[in-house]
Amino acid sequence: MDWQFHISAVQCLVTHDIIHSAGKKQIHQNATPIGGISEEGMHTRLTTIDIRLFATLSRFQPPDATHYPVEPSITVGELLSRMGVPLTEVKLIFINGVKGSPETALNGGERVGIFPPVGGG
Amino acid sequence: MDKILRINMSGADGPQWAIEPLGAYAGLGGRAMTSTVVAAEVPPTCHPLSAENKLVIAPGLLSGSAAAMSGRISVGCKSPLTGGIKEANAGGQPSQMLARLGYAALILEGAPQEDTPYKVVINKDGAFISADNSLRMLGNYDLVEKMKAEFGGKVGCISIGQAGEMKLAAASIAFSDMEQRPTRHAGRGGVGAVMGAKGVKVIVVDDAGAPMRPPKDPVAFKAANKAFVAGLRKHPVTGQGLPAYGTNVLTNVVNEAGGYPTRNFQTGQFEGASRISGEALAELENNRGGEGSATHGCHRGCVIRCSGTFYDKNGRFLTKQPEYETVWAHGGNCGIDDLDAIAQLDRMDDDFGLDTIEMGATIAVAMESGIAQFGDAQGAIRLLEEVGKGTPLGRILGSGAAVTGKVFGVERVPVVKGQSMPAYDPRAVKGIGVTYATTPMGADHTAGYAVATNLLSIGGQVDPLSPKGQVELSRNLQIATAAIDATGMCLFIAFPILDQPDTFQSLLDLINGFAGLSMTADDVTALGRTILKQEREFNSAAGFTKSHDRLPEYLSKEALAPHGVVFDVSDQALDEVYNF
Ligand code: SF4
Repeated sequence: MDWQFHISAVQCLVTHDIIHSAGKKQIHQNATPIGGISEEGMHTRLTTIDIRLFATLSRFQPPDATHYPVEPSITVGELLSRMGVPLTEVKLIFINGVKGSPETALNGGERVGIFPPVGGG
Repeated sequence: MDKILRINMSGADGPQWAIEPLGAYAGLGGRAMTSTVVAAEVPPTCHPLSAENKLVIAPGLLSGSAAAMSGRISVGCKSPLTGGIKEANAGGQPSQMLARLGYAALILEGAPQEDTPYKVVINKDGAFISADNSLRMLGNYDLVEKMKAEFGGKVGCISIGQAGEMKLAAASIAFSDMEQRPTRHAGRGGVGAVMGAKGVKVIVVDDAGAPMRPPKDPVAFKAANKAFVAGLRKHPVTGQGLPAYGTNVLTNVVNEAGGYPTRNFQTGQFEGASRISGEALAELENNRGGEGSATHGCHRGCVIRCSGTFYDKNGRFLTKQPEYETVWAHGGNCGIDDLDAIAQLDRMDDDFGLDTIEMGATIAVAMESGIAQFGDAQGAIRLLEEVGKGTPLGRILGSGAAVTGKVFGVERVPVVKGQSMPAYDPRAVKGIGVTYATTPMGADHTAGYAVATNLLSIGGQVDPLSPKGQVELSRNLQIATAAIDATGMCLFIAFPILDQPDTFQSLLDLINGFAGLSMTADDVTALGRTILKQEREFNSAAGFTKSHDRLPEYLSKEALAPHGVVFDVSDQALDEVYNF
């Protein structure tokens, strides 16, 4: 499911640039739609983040994690749900090294680190 | 545990031993015992390597019983590294064994007339002390092998390697594990040098014929232990994270938080972190396989089992699973991202009997001075070999980061009271900075693990980047830790205890059921305070003032990337920590 999302998101990113330069609506209609994004949203330029999922959550790590496409102002919680990461397993969220929460919105360009509960010493 | 074994090494006819009743020390265990004895019997101004200093080895209060997690042991003395009071804590088998033999403490005092390594054997019939020149300058591994051949496969060993014999300030004391390997160390503060100064190379503990310590109230004790274990299993950190990934699971967290001291604390993030992380280490260990590879306990009775076993490329045992602090010290702090090299360094530290934190910090200072390059794993191994051989360079390095910094003219030396800081940069994790500055132990993360609340969201949340709230946080944790260190419980029980009130209650019930007491949470806090006050008074009498409760100045001037932060908890605030 999350694979689907990447492929479509990357396609959208590429297509969006074409739309922009060509200024034609037809090409836009060919773009693969992404669940949850409105027609309006398609016009918002997608951006990327660097997302890392650790420990038991590493199974959700996408292959393009270092330039993972997102639309601006998506919240961490929305993003994680879309990636299929159970929020109940998420304990720590770091955004550019600062603690965040599922409500924190992303602008693009951030480094996001997601952890289950961990401890040591 | 109703007696003390006192060994005086000074006798004209050789060492003398005596078994004493507990007297004023009744009811004490672990750190409460070691710090009370040191405060009462060691002149604070004495030289740490002199006959006046004493080495106190004390099992925790619950050690030797059926209580889960209770096999930790405390070692106390005046520290040759810091010049203050010291409690260093270790796992391994000897804690349970000494406790079953009935010893609440083992006190080594005086100093032998001649430079001869002694062997002490403790069993149900008493103590047997003999000079044994064949042990001279053996590493811990060869030494323990020899003891195994002599006394069989069941004894526990408390021993020093070459570093302790040379009385180097970074020397540790090894406690053998379930496989009779010298992998568990009372690492910090140079306790191994004090054992060396007493002329004791190894203490062999044979608990054959010694029964498990029975609880005063078996029914309450059994029920409490059950609830306590269930609480540990239920908490995701002690139930899942620690067993699966070990303490090294922290590498990625601390690195993501920008508080991972890299290349002698130059920056707060290491580009090679993921290659040496707990995730990478567990994968490597699981791929290589072997007995106890990724999940293993450091002593019998541990139900968390955060440890593991490291086998080399050819499947041969190399060392125990290196801890987070070790992987950081010899890894990111030296710019090294090779787990095999780090495990090799861990093995060498254990064999020579050295504190892995101090040695990693020292090698990083040496790298900053230019005698090796950051990232050069073979260079680090060569430097550590010098310590084992006792060359002049090796002796300098084995004296720790502060001495090495002085000798090589390095300004940036991350120490407090002469002891090197562990794996959290105090600029980006300010709560732990308060603990480093103010604990009587010198820079020590275990003394008040504010990282839990600053970074891990355990026991609440306090912003790691702000100076606000850090003093209270560190104070409360220092008090709680001192009390836990008295019980013989592994400190990692703090994670569930901070989050789950019912697990804290079952710990109290466990102690009460065992000792026939009715302690409350307030009594535990009072115990923690008493221990800390006593330690602090010892340090004052030894010449410490509030000016020693400070971090090195450069940490409040040089900003740390990526957050661009300095350590900005004020001096006045630091002086408030001990206002209780
Ligand atoms: S949790 Fe780890 S350190 Fe604590 S007792 Fe168990 S193995 Fe030892």
